[in-house]
Amino acid sequence: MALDLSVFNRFAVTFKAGDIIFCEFEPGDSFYLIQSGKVKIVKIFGDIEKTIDIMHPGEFFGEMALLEEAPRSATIIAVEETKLLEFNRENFEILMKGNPQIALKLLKLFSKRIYDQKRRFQILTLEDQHAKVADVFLMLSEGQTASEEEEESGNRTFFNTIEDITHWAGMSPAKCRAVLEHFASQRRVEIFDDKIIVKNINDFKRMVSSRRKNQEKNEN
Amino acid sequence: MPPKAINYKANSIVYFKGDSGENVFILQKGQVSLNYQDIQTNQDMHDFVQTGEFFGVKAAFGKYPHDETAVVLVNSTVIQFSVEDFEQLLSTNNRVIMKMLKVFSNQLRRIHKQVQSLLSSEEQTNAEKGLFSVGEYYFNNKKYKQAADAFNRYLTYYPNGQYEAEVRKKIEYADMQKNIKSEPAMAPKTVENKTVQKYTLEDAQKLCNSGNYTDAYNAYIKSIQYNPNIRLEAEFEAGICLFKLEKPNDVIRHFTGILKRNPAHSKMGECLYYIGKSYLSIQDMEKSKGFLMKAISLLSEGTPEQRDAQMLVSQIGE
Repeated sequence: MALDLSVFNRFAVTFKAGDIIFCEFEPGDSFYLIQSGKVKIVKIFGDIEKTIDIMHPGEFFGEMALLEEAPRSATIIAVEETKLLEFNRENFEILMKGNPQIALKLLKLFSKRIYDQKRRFQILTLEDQHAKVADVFLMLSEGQTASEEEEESGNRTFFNTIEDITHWAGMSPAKCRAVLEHFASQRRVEIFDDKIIVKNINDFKRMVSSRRKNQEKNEN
Repeated sequence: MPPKAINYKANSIVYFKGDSGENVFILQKGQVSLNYQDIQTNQDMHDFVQTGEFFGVKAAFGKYPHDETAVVLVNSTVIQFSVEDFEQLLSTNNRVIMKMLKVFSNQLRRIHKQVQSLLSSEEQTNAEKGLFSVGEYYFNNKKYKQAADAFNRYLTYYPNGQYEAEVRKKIEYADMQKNIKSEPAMAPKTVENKTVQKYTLEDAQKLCNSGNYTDAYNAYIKSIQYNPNIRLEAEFEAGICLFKLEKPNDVIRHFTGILKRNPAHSKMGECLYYIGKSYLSIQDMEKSKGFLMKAISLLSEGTPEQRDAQMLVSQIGE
């Protein structure tokens, strides 16, 4: 169903191609709904700019600002001329009350975010650094649908860089690199510039679950 | 599949932790407990579902496995919905959606905090340094438009920050490069006075008087870089440009920022007046009235702003 959002035109803001809508680390108090155009979500890791996602009309971004005034976790750049509706905590309720469709979308987004954060929490609570990195791959694989062949062999390709893994594992780049190199020397992973291949994801699964069990035993 | 009522015997299971979430449930009659382990303490938790309450929603919406087991405690009746039917039901019941949004956002806030508490300090980069490094990346890669955007934000939030001087220099350079790149046709004109193109308050005022508020806004902001002593005045005038450009959200942010940085601003009444008028144009009557009333008490008697504010307040009424 197409949404008629013309009553919200007073919240409209327009950005030209290449404009930064908000910057990573900037404090944020508004969230955006794309009306027309396209934006990309990017993060800078050292001297690499990585595009995490491209978003289209009907999608939200910046919604974490509704929860707390944490710094933005990524930079958003308009890919082409883009019209957005900009909301803050105060006028957000007006939008949601008048538009169940949008509220539903946000509910779904929150559901997914809660899951992602819980999963991240699980990774971060692992004490063993090797298990931490392995669990990041498990998490990434949960978001993919494996082909029959991959299912059979346990072989998985991740189009992620070492920086991505570092971010999710919440460890220092040097440490994460060392763990990955250790895995590579054991031939458990192959590292390329633009992707990482895990030879047998089931091997990682076993490793993570046994470390987690040991850890729980020690805690109790 | 239409919604259907299912009867469960005591001690049976509606779904196990790890089952994929395909349906949403409402407890019509009986007692159901959601069992899970607290992620922080590993303690076994039991949340009881009240009759009329939903459960299994998050997994169904997020399309991921349930992270709790739903155990039936006494003989119960549960209505099972497909996600589509549940959405249909919700779309006619806004009150329920708003309530769920609140519950979910509270949960999200809690887990977000828990995650942040685990991140090592090296991971939580200092925000000021982080924002600077974003600008640096674009600057070093000759993406001057983005570099200027990022650095200007740096100055907005950290006007006296540790990288301030460097950032100002780089903005100037980036702006120059940006103009050369994007407006080659303008080259003859810009070359003439490019190297010493200085922006003064007077230049900005001229632009403003000619109705070119976008350029006037930029000129006011840039004039501060050449003469920090005029900051207060230039910032104030830049806010008026935003007001003329009818960007209420920007106006509110701009003047709020000014007042935050300068709690004893000599034009506080005027700043509040423009914030109030902007809230009015986004139809937030309550806020508008609040700001206008404050403005009235601070503005000098009989000024056009004060009279306008009084008129607006009486129009807003109760």
